[in-house]
Amino acid sequence: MNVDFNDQQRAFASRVREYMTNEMMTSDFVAELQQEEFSHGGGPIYWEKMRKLGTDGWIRHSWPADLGGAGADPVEQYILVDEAKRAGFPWPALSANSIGPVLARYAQPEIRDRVVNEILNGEAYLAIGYSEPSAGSDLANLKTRAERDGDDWIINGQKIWTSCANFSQYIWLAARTDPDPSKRHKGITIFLVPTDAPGFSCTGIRTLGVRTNATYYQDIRIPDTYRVGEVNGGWKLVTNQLNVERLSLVSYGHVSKLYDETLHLLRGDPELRPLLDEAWVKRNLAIAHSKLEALKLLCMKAAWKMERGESGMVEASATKVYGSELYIELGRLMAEILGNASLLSEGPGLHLRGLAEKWYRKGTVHTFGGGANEIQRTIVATAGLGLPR
Amino acid sequence: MDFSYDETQEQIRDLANRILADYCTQDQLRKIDDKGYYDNTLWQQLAASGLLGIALNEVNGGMGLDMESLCLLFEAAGKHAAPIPLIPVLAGAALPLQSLDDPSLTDHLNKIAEGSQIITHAPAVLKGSTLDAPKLKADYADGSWTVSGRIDNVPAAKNANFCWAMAQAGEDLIALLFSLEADGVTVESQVITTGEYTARISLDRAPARLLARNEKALSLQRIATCLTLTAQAAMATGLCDEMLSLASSYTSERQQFGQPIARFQAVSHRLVDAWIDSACLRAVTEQAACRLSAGKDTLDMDIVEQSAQVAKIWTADALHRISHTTQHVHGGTGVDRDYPLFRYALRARQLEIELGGASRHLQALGDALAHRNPQ
Repeated sequence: MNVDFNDQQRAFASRVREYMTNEMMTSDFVAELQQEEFSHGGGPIYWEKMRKLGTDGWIRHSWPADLGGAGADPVEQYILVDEAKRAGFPWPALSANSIGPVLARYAQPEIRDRVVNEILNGEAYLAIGYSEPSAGSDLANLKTRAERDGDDWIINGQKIWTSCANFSQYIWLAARTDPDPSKRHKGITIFLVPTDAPGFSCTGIRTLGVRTNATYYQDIRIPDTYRVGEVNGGWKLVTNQLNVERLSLVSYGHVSKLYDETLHLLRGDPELRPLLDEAWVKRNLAIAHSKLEALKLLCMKAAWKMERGESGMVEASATKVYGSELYIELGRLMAEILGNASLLSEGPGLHLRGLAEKWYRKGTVHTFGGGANEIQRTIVATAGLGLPR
Repeated sequence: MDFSYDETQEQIRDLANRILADYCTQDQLRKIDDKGYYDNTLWQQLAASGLLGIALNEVNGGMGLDMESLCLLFEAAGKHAAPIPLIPVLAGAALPLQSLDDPSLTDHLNKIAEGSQIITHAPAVLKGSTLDAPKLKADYADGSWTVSGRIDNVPAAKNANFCWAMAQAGEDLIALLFSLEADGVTVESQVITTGEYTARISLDRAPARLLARNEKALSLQRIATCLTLTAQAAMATGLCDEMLSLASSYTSERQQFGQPIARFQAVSHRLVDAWIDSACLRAVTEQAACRLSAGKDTLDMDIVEQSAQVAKIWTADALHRISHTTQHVHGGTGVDRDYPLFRYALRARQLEIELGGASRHLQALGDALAHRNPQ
């Protein structure tokens, strides 16, 4: 047994870290990400960086070889996304790693190569159009309709929480193609809807944390070539979520960032350093450290299992539950240490670019985003513990 | 990165589980419940099959494998609630003594491996790089050492032949080995919650031999502590697995309101949280065992100590939560002594508290994080 990355993996991690720090997180981009509107992408510098990321082959690197990628194994894919997130780069995991490979596998040839190239070159982002006002965890309840009209489809409906739709080129849309109520799961089809199609509109939703969107589809006409997979066969594509992606939602570097930076700040700032002599501060640090160690190992173990060809489904779900709840707890442990400074969002006295203040506001979504934790627990209950359905 | 076990380790795990399953049936365990919860025939069987010497070098009568392999034995012992003092004898005494590379200890170590001698350890609490008030005093006169004082809750002392412990000798801190059968030694049984005997050892100028002095003695205590914490974690992993397995079976069968109670999310999600605790415990335990198995020249004691502390913090938290959760979902069945779960609840308590609970280790870890150089 060896619980550490091997030399090659370590070298890869430091190569990614160096690239992300020096090439991606330049001061102008860091400043752009500070603006609420662009806080998880979509600004002009974001698109420059995405194209560079594409040109330098990093997005391709995270793709399976048989789909035109460089064929990194799950461990390298995990390291890549982990290091990007650790650096604070808004890695396009949903678009590039979750949806992209599914699109490459199931889209029709007429559009596939073009869209795959756009994704790999960092020129396109795909937002996910699943949730609706009455279809969240019970996604099969979705009502957005797609009706056949000759060689085209006419789409009508509304989606909500369509994050990144305001700067995406496409919506990866789940729509109902069979209205028969007895065909809930079997009446859903996936479409790729260009956001410049007439009838598409998007309004922002300001949340506690980041901006998200409601998207509207009014008599949108798209050719059948934009249908992905079989008619009424969309459910398989929806649930064909890569476990690697679920893992990346709560990857170690992403979650430990606040702890790492807080500890670094306390050690380096003469005004804050006396806090390190307080018993309660040390206790908070120790709780954070011991829980993060477990997250680090859970992530590595899940990636290792996937590398060996196992699905890693139970591990990914369990890690999602654990990591997202730890994210929330960590925000509290570190905010207690930073005290009033953890409330500051701007102005003098700001520490870590307001990370602790943002952490609390943005963190809430982790326990229900990417599959609500209750759903994940139910997966672990049946597939991990073998409890009856 | 590789979380798999090699073929030899798989064989060790199978062999250990096979022997322990044979000797740890409820009927057999019940027979020794009032006799100190110690089964000498099982101990002899483990010795005969070579398992006591897994991590002892060949010259010491062992297989020459590492802590990672030995942890498989601790885990199996946890899974079967085995009535034998593996942790104090192997992790507390044998491996630390072996680390001294002292040829005059070879005979002792060979005897441990063959089951003809038991050496135990009365752990002292390390405070940073020194000791928290050692309870024993040692004197050197006429070319030999004697030791005096009183120590409590010494594990396995009732069945042990020797004990090693830290003592104050004037300005010096020393590690001593003494016979429990010598003049000047009184061993009084104490019964702990599992039914096991620990002992109060009173020493009045009892003969002793010097193992190590000052810095070397402190690092002996430090390695013994790290090994013991990691062994506790490994045993806890086996305990948690078995508690969860009992709870999963029980809740899948027990019917209320016309269905198995595991179908209620209030029950199943609680068990999933226990499952996640146990996955975390397993992961940090593997890390600690792996770090301790590094070769002598690459062994970094600061890192070893931190990962052992993390493992103990998880041991304490996971045992506390999983033990209560699994008891709770069993209802009255769980507390019935005709059903095996109570053994795990009691051992869980023991492993949580012995050598310090989560709070103590959080403090030590916090001190290290705040004041040691970043890794």
